[in-house]
Amino acid sequence: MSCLALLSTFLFNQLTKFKKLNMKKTKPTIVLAMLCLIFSAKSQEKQANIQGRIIDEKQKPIPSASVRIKHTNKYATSNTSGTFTLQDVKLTDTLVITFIGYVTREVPVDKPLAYETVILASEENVLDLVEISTGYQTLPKERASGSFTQIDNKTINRNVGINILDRLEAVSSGMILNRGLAPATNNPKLSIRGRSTIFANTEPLIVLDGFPYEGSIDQINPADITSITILKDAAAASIWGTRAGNGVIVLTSKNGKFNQPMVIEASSTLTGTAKLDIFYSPQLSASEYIDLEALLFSKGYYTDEINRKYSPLTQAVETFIKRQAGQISAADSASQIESLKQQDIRKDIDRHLNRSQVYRQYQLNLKGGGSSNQYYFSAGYDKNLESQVSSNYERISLNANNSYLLLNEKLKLTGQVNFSSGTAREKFDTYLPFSPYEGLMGINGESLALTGALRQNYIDTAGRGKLLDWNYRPLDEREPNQSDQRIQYKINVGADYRILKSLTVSGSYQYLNENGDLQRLYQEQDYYARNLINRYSSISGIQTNRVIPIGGIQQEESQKTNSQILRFQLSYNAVLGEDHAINAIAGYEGSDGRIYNTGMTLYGYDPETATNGNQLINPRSYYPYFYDPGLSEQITTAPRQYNFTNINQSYYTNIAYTYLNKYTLSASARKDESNIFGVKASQKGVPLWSTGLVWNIANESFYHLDLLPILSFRATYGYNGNTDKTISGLLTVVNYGLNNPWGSNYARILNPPNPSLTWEKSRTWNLGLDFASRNNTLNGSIDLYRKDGQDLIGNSPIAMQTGIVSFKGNTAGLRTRGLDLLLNSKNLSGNFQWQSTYLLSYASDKVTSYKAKQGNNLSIVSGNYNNPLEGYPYNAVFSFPSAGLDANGAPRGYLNGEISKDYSAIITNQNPGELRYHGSSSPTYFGSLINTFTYHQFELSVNISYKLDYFFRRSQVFSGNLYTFRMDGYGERWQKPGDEALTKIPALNFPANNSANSFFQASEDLVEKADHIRLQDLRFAYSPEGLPIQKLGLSSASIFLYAKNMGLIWKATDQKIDPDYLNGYPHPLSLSVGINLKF
Amino acid sequence: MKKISILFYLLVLISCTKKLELKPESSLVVPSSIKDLESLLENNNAVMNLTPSLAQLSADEYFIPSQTDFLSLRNVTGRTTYLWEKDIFQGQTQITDWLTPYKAIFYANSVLGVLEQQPGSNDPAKAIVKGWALFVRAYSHYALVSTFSKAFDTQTSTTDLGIPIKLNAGIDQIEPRASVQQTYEQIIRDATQSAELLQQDIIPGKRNRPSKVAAYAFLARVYLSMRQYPQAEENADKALALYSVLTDFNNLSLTAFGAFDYNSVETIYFSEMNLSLYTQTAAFNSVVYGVDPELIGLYSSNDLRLPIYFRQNAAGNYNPKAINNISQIPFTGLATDEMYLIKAECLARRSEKDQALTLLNTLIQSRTQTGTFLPRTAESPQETLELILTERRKALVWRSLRWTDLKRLNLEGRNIVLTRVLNGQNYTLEPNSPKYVMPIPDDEIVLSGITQNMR
Repeated sequence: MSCLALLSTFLFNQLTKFKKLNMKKTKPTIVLAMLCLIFSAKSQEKQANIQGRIIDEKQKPIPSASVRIKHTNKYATSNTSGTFTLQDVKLTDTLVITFIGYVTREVPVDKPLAYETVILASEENVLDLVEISTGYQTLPKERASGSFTQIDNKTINRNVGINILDRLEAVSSGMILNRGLAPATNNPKLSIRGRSTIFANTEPLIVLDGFPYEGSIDQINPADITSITILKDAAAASIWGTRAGNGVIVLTSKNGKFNQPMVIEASSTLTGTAKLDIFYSPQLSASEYIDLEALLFSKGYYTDEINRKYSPLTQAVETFIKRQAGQISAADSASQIESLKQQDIRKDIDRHLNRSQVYRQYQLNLKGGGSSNQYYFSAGYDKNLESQVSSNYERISLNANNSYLLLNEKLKLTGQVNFSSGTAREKFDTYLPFSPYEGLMGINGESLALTGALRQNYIDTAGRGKLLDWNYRPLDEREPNQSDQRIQYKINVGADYRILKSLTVSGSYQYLNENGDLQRLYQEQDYYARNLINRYSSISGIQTNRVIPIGGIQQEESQKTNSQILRFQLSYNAVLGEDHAINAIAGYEGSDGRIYNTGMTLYGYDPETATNGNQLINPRSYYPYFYDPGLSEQITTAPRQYNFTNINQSYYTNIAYTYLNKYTLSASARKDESNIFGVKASQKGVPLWSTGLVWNIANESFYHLDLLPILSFRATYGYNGNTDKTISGLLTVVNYGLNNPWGSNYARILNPPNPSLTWEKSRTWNLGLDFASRNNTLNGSIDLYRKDGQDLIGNSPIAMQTGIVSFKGNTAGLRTRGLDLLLNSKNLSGNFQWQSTYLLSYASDKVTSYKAKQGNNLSIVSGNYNNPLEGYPYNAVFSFPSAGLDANGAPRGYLNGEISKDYSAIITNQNPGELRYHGSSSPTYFGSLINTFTYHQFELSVNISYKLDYFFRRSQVFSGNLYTFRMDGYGERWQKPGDEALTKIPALNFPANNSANSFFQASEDLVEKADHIRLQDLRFAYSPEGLPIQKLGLSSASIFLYAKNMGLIWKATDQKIDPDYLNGYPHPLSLSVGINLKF
Repeated sequence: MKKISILFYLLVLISCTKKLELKPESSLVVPSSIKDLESLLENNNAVMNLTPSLAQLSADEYFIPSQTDFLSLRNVTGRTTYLWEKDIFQGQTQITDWLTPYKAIFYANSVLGVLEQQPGSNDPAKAIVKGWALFVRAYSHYALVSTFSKAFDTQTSTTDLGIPIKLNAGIDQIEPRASVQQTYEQIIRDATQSAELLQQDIIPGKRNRPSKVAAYAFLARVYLSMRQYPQAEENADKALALYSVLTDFNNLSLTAFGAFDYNSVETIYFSEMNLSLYTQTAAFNSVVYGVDPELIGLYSSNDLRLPIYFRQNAAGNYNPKAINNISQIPFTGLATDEMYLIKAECLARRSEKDQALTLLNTLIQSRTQTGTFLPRTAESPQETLELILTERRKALVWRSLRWTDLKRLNLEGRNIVLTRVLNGQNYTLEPNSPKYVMPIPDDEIVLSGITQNMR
């Protein structure tokens, strides 16, 4: 009994000590320590043999955990039942207990007990105790006033994407991958908290291991990343200054730990993805298109092409021509047409050019550390077979991270070397069908000649055998002809020196070098080379004169990126007395980034000898086309070169003061300077600042709400910035080194003078509340924010008499408001556990000021983003109200409130009041619900994501006035009186009325609600435990199945369109199987 | 503290402050040198050496054989202009016929602005660049006024609406339309000053650049369009005194698609049509349009211009070949044959019949098959003038000049009515009709609030 009493006293002491030591708040539900030490004899020498047992929170033993005596090399490893023995331990010693995936614990040996049970808390369950990293410093979360989101290793590994950003989809609040937004607009791949600019950079800043990452994102192997912090508001991000306007994503690489025995992790994932749904993209059936062509042919639509003799025509039109000229009988013509109508090129593409994707990922790493060093080594290999038979991707990544503690732990040296090499191979000019009824393969398996740049019966006779074969056979050209290789080296070194107890000075430096080499070789037998050689050939007598020598054509582009960043920083972390704590940093950072681009084309290229015939071509000459001497072109043989220089320097400071563990005040300030072109020195820099407050309400003496033992309030206010380096304050000219036909170099005016050019600023408010209920069954946070973009660069349209059509200047304002909600709940515990994470984000932007007048209503509908209308979102969807079809199937709109068919007047109307506003094309509400079920060693996790309250416009819909075959809705068009009651698709009209087409494409009939709910992904994992694992020498293992792109659960539109995939094909169902092993 | 101060010194040493002056992109330049300014004036990529195509589309040098051919024209402005419709742009914006000349003016004004800020203009190279910019400004203002305004008429020129005159590069200044009188005055002022500043001779191989010859030739063209014949003659004289080379067409290939290049010897200043995919203005081999058979009928069988300027298409009609150019885009620049014709016309108008005929015959002889040339004769100055005006159509075919000729000659009461027949229907354009003035693009009207032309 006395032992028990002792035990509980000890326990209590440990708990309080631990709390103070780490300055972290422990959550009551997580039992951090339970100790029972029973010392055997030898107490007078103050030495003991210690026995103990290490278990996890579920009372399961943890084998292979390391138990080390601090500052010595003496350690023991727990056996399969989690027990260990250490001999001759001094009573002043401290045990350091580490195991991968669990929070390291230090247990002082100061009580003469002999047996110890240590419960290690798994890292994933103590997320809130983990410090957050801003890239410049790590902060205890409860003292951070800003809005941060931590993404732990488990969440990163939930998705198997090979790009780290893809893995962030639908797992973090306030962040969205912008699928389905028009690519022509200034929309980033990924947005954090909506927009904060109109025309300047919209991409978030990516920080890797403390430095802005200048390489390409594909070069980062997600398996090397241990955690991600997302900095969302001014206080969180202002430390990154002008580059933080769109939020910051801080990636932290894996590293070893001090006093950790070597751990080896091996993982492998195999992902199979179904073929692309080639029928997703709407097009006319062969039969429909041939009927349309027949009608157009009868109206003389093709006259000009036919008479030009070389312009390409479809097989059906060729048949009509032959029939018209009496070269074939009516019966032959009919049977030829009939057989064409049976074909569908999409089937051939699906069979011969597309395939199922197979992605393989392998990664091996080892990590660990002694008392004064830590290390991490990894090697990764990825091999992807892409969805087109000609495309594949390969990546190798190697990493080494090391840290050393020297001079009595006063000096910490870190070094990191990364190497990665990624190569994408593909066929550059992919086959694009000329008609819906082409066929790639003949009945005997032969490759068919299809319509290329010229008409078939022209190339059959052109040159009478003196030219190269001019046929285009896509099936013969399925080998990749382009390789795009990127090789990256990155070296980081750093030194932290503790001058005083609480003052550390550090210096760090990063060197990054990335070489991108793109080589595209058209072999002599490839259509591209043959076509180009023939185009510039001429025949005199029996002689064929060739401008471009026979041989291959090689195009080369190389891009070298060189970036260096140097940083000095002073950090002050002190607890003054019992009540005051200060965390402060101040520093200087300078960066110098250079990009060198070169490119050239080699004609008559022989890959064997690497020789070319460029010297045979006169780059000044205009060489006429073989098939039309009226067309002539120069052939450029000179290399191209251009360079970019990006210089930044910044002074920054960030100070946080905490009083009584209840109140924290924070402030940060930063001055950025950059080599912006053509402005005065004083305008090259911008000062930015922010301030914040944290109030730990739960620590107040008056607070007694047992239901919510954790409650704290945050508020921040400050400025982020942004720049658009493409514009300048002075009359700026860009000279690409091009020559005009008179052999003179010429330049283009890039922008007219703008003496008042300044930096973009975004003023940001954020209010946040963090809470957790008793036993942590429910915890979460809610953040409200508002961003006011000021002095934003606006692209104002301007009267053409000025000589330009638009002008960029600081003319615009944009306000974004939003809410981020995160809720975690433990619904069931025990053997069968059920946890839920619910994410909800609301983000809505509105252009608050835009000085320029609008052109007309059509430009508002089709290009509001060029020219956003005040009072509406940047991605606003407008349309022309529709009055449906008239009795002849012609679309009708409204003009001055009256039904009208004066399309020209409707589209050039300048009164935006006559437009209908639907909403934004970017989701206003989005988020996800992740449910995780655990039963013993099995875990099932399902992510359901949703995007709500937004709109899209159907594109390429048959308007009656467009005659291509890549169109939707052709079958539903008005065909007979009465159809106007049933359909919105107009009747076929000839000749094309451009205004009617523009009106219909912009009418409200084609705007659809984009709201949808998606089964985002599903992951099933099995982590076997016990003997079978140990027999293999493993400390842990898990096998998982992961399924993605399982489709929509619900969508608002009736159209067969997935709102996330308005352009291109939806990602098909993919299934992954993976294994993770730990030794 | 010592350590910190050492650190501070180190920091100053390595700081990037000096590097902040580096250019972010190698291709960026703040123009200041003569070379920089020349490179702007050399930009033929949608800026310089371009003139509008609406005049050629509207004039009577071509016809469209059938309704089918008409409907096969893909560009809507190609169809509406052919029928002289009221709304020719049908909602299209950024019409290059209006935009490109103003872009050239913006470039020229930018160059003039840079030169103005540089003290000491004794450098002869600077004078030439200034002359060049002034020439571009005059040439572009003229391209606009001849397309978007009525022809110059002394009776009404002070009230007729010209075009906005742009004399500096500031984009915050929106100009209203000046009068036709003010517009032509400015054009003549700029061209006259450029004639003083420019080098005398045409630079061989660089006929995209103006010279004194070009400035005089341009003034001759402008004065002729204004029906100020003495001044037209004076400037044609000045031009011909410096450069009067004619090509003997007997030395040119009759079969090649193009017998010319970018530096044809007759070219005084090169410009070409600002092509916006109008099938019927380019020298396409196309059956959907043909050169007006009546015009073709004017060429006698020994006239070498017939095979050198034209080719027959599959429908038996004629399409133009490349004239004074290497590409299909029609030449609209200044050439010596135009100077001969201006001079001859002015002589005939002041009843110098024989001198006028001598000049005309020199020109025609160079176009005629060797050994078959018969000199033209006339009984009266009036007959001479008629002869010259017909020769003018034949010599200056497909250069966008017919439209301005129609406008000026109708003001003299020649009463030329244009007709098109399409699908059994007749379309006519009456002399001095408001449809001789092209509408200003809607987006210009909306953004600057200038007055639209009534058509």
